[in-house]
Amino acid sequence: MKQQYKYSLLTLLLFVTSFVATAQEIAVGGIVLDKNENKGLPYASVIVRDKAGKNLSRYSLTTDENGRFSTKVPELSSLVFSYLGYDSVVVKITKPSENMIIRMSVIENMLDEAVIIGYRKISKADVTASVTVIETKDLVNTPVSNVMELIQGRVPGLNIQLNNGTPGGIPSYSIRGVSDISVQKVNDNEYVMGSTMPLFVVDGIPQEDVTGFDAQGLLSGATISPLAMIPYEDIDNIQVLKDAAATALYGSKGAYGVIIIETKKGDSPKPRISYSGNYVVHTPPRLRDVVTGNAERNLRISQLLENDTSRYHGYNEIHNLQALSDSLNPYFNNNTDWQGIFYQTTYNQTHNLNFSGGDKKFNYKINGNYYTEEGIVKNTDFNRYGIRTGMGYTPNESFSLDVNIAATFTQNSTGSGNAFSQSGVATGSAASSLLPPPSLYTASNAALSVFSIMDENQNTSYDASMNIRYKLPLDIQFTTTLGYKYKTTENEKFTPGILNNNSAEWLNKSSNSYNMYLRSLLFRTVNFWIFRAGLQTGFEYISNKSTGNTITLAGLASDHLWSPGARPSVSGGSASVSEENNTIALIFNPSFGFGGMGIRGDRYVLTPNLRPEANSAYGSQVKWTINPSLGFRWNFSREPFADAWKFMNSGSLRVSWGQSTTYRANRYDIWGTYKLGEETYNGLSIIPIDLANMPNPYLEPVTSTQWNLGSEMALWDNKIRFTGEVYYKQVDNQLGSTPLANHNAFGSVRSTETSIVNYGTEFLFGIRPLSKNSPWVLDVSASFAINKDVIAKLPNDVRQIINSNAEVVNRLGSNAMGNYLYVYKGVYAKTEDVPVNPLTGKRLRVGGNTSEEAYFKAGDPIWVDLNGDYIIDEKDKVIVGNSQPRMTGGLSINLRYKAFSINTNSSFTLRRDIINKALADRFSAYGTPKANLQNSGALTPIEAYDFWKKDKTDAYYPNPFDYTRSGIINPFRNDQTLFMEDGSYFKINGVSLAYTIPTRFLNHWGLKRMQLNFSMNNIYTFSKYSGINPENVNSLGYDTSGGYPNSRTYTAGLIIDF
Amino acid sequence: MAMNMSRKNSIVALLSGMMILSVSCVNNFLPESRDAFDRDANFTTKIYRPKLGKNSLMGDNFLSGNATLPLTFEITRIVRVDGSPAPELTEFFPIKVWKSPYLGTEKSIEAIEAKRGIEYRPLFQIKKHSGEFLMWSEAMSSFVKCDPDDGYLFDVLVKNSGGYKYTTDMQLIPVRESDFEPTIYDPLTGLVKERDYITPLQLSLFQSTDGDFMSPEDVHIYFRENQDNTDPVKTLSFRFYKPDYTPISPSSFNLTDWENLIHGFNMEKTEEYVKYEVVYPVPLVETKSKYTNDAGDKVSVHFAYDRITASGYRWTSGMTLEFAIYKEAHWEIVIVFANGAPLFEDGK
Repeated sequence: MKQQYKYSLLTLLLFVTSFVATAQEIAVGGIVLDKNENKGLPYASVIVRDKAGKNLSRYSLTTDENGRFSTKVPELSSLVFSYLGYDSVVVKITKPSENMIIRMSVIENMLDEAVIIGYRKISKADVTASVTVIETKDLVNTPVSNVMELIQGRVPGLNIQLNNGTPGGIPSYSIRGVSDISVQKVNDNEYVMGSTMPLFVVDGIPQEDVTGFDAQGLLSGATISPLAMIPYEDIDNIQVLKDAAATALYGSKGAYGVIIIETKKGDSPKPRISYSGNYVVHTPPRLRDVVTGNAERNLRISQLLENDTSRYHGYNEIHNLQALSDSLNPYFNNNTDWQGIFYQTTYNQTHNLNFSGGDKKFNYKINGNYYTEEGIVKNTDFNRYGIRTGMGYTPNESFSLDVNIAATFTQNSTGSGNAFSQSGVATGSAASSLLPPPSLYTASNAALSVFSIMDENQNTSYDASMNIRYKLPLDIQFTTTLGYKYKTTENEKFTPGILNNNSAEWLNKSSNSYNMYLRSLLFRTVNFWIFRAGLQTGFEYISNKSTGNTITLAGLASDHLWSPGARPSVSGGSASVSEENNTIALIFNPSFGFGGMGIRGDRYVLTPNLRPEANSAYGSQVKWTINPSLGFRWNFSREPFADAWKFMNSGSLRVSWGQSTTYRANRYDIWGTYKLGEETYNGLSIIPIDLANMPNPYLEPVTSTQWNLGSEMALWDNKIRFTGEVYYKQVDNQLGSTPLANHNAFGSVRSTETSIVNYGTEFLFGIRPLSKNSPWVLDVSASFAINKDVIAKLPNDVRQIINSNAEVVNRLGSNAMGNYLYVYKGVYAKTEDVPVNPLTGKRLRVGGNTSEEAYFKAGDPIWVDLNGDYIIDEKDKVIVGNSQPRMTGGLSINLRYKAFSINTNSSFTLRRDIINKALADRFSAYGTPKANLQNSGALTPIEAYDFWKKDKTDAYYPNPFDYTRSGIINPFRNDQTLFMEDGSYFKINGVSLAYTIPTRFLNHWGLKRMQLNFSMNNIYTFSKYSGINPENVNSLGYDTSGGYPNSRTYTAGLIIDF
Repeated sequence: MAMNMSRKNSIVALLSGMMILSVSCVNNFLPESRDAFDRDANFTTKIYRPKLGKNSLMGDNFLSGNATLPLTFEITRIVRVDGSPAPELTEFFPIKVWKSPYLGTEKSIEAIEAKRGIEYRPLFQIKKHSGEFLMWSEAMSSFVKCDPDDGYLFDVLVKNSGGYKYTTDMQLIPVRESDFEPTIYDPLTGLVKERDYITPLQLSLFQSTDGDFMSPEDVHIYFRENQDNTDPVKTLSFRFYKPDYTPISPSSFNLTDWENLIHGFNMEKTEEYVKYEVVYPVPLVETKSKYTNDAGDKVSVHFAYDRITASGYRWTSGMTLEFAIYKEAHWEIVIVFANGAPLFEDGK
């Protein structure tokens, strides 16, 4: 508070004061507001000038703590409003006005802004690395469980795909392309890419649990993203550090990029209570069309009659299939809307109460949050209860203390699916409409399990952190950060006996982890002549401990009679070893600037950095990792020659090189696994090594080496801001498994032999076209990134690796993730068109079958017989397409007019090949008209598709009805180019509208500020894709029917400041 | 201002130039996208013994290992075993090849012939991308070395954009052709082995006029080339004889589906024979059809009749014969009931 006075006084003193005889005085008054936030600016100075422009210090005053002022001034004078960090506003007074509203906007100079890199706040003018800062107030104001959803398309090079609508789930994000080509199995026939999660740093503490979070972690553990534990209302800004010059400072965790999240701090001199609440409606997306009831029965009957080997055989089949022939049986005479049973519109609420206050010396905040989201798939939800407190104390210039304490409790359930997919729903909703809806005597176990399996996950996390800064003698800055986190995860699942062979089962998985973090740094800069040298040195200590166990109780009490001796299932339990893992890192980070500090500021900045780190978890042959980096920045707008460039506010060029690492191998990879108490030799128990994996002490950490060339410019009074980057990123030593020849004792060895290169360009434009004095504020921000990935090295020096399960090929010199597909060229109009082997006279056929049905005929797909052996088999697949997006970006437009503001965000992905497996499955369902009505019984109307019929032979899709041969030909297999589509899309992510109610209506109620919000999220996706949503595909580009769809949300909200 | 603009432009040009340069030169330092070539890729069979006189496909003979497919195969050298050139295998011959698929539903000889055409090819070839070997039916023992000769040696080059490999001195030892199957000739000498006839595959309830039941051994089937017939449209006829070579009328086999016996046209049925106009080889394509056996490599013909026995019930007798004919000629299949003519009359 004192500070504010000081600055106001300073402002006053700057002006020469004089006394002028007063003319007639008129009354003026009003409020000074921050233009962006519509909040009163306390103690802003109001200087009065006369007609001639002379200051009348007698009249000058400051606003009160709410930003209000009221005074009398001479006629025809003008008022100059000024506030530190804001552009001054001049208003001419011609008539009395008691309700003036003065909106002031923040002064912008890109070089004066600050970012946080390597736990140190640095002026942007000194940053040699590529950093993008996102302020949450610029985001679309809509409640989400995970704040990362909102920054989709905001940061060029940060590719966020909201490919999973699971409440509290995890979108996929990658910084600058593919960093890992491993593929993980998440379902029977679904694969996703290995995780390369960036490092998240929340309020200075690296979040180990987020970083180590991969698909396997999601499946087996918490089932929600740890990021979902931070309420978005409490986040102030997000910084994305993209290149290695920045990430190298984060030691052996930054290889995949770093994302820094800063939570809000108290900043109001008077305590403020702010409530924000939202009412949210989630609606499911467009569901698939389905043929139901009698239409389905007729369709099946006519298909059987017309496509069987003979009509009589067809009749026979129908009579054998009771569901078709016994149409009067109530069990088969239904019209069940299966999808309607699973999907729902939900109504949710979120509440956030924030109590905060403070000034430069002392600030505090307490934030209580309640968030609930019931999933659009029934029996799935996410609830969060959290309290976060923060306190900052700066008694004097040389000491400060920050403390943050948070406790968060979340509860979620994923129903019968998992965090990735809802396979139960996929199976259940594929049931035939002829079957009755789920009940105890159900037709679909999958459906019943969606509703009856109780699956509850609870995550509790307690966080405490403390940050001390102290200026030691000799200008040495000392900072130390201590963080502690305790986290428990509990997963309970109950399967009723009816679904489990009359033996109910209860499963409990629980785990807890402790995480200690300590970092101490000393920093000192020395200026001499035109040089400035700085050195940051210190250490970092991280200690993690985790333990867990699993209990299964089977055969719970039931009234089912078992025969004597029958034992349906066994209870069991297992405990995972309590693991402890400690890291000590030494930090050595010199910096160097030259080119005259003085009035021009830093013109040339050089930042060398070394960060040696030793880790007890590394192999015996790899003890140290060094993360060096070197960056150089030239602020050319500060050069004398640039003074003439009036259009340029700031401009700089920077180039950097750096290396950052992430250690991914675990102790079993390094030391091997020993089997305790399993084997004996000569009657003595021995502890042999597990021969599946050979220990490898030479495993290197994943190393990302990056070159970055960037330029930043602000032009024409900051109306245009531009950031452009070119980068080259090489990720070496990706952890993989190399099989060993079978004459070795061991089956395989973990190795670090894969390298991937990503290179590309990124652009970020910020445009603010309107004049500062205009009541309108228009902020346009556009981002665009092109990335190209190339595999530079594969294990064992091979040139290609085919993953035939996931239909993915990794090929040296090509894009990392190529699809491995049959090439589809249309449909054989007539049998004569099928290619014939000139030697044998036999037609083309599918491999593995020499029966008559295996030969292609009219209505079958034309697949290219690559090797010309007249057999379509695995040898005819080609590497085609790229499942990774090559261009991503977004456009956001924020418009403000007085009390109104509209924030919009949209994002796009271009040049991505995705596989419409859902469509393949829909067509395939016609191949089994008499098969499993429970699991693949839903028939979707396909009349709209151009497929082969006897009377329409020139078609795009093969004949779906030829069911006697479909098992052999499999015309709708998903690994063919027929289903590979362009996955480009442009999505309108969200629009939010806010209106701040004028203060004069609020005084009566004792409120300071009230804002109404309306928003809509996931509004519309423009795409040529024939499926539902080109974004809702897994990381390998497969649109599977089991994916959790993204909901559209409508929100009405209220923010009240007391 | 003009200077400013030009300076600004030059900075913009410099910047964009640097960006384009740095992006474009990255590719030079990255590995090329080439195929993988596996040094262990190899032929599983080094000696090939195709039968002459018919189209032979020798496939399933190459393991590509981890090589990127398709590979390209090429015969780089083929010589006789003694090292002398083998023009009979390197020169191009007119060869009848299939152009569009044979379906078994063609309604005339012309319709079938329209699906085949003449192409000029060497008699022994390797499929360019699959590595299968082909030997065309036009290769005959009259001018191609065959077993017991050691035949030919040849080298094959296998390559893709990632590498190449030679497999040398693979051996081709053709086997002497037989005009029809089951054959009566010895493939080594070309002479008749022990008997000059074949017997039917199956005979059921054939009773001779003497009242004895016949076994397949009692039926002698001769394949005879009618060289007097010079009609360019080739034929296949069936003749039936009693032991004394007096003809049996085909009509006696009253249950025989003469129209669909084989895929022939313009059936001519007399008291002595049944004749079809056909296209050789028979069967045309070695795939299962209503004319062939299950394996598809031979046609299967079934002659049947019924009679009422003295006890008054109907007795159905049948004879099944499976055969294939590779040589184009006017073939006659002469079926002689050597140990007694079948009994056709109803019992009394």
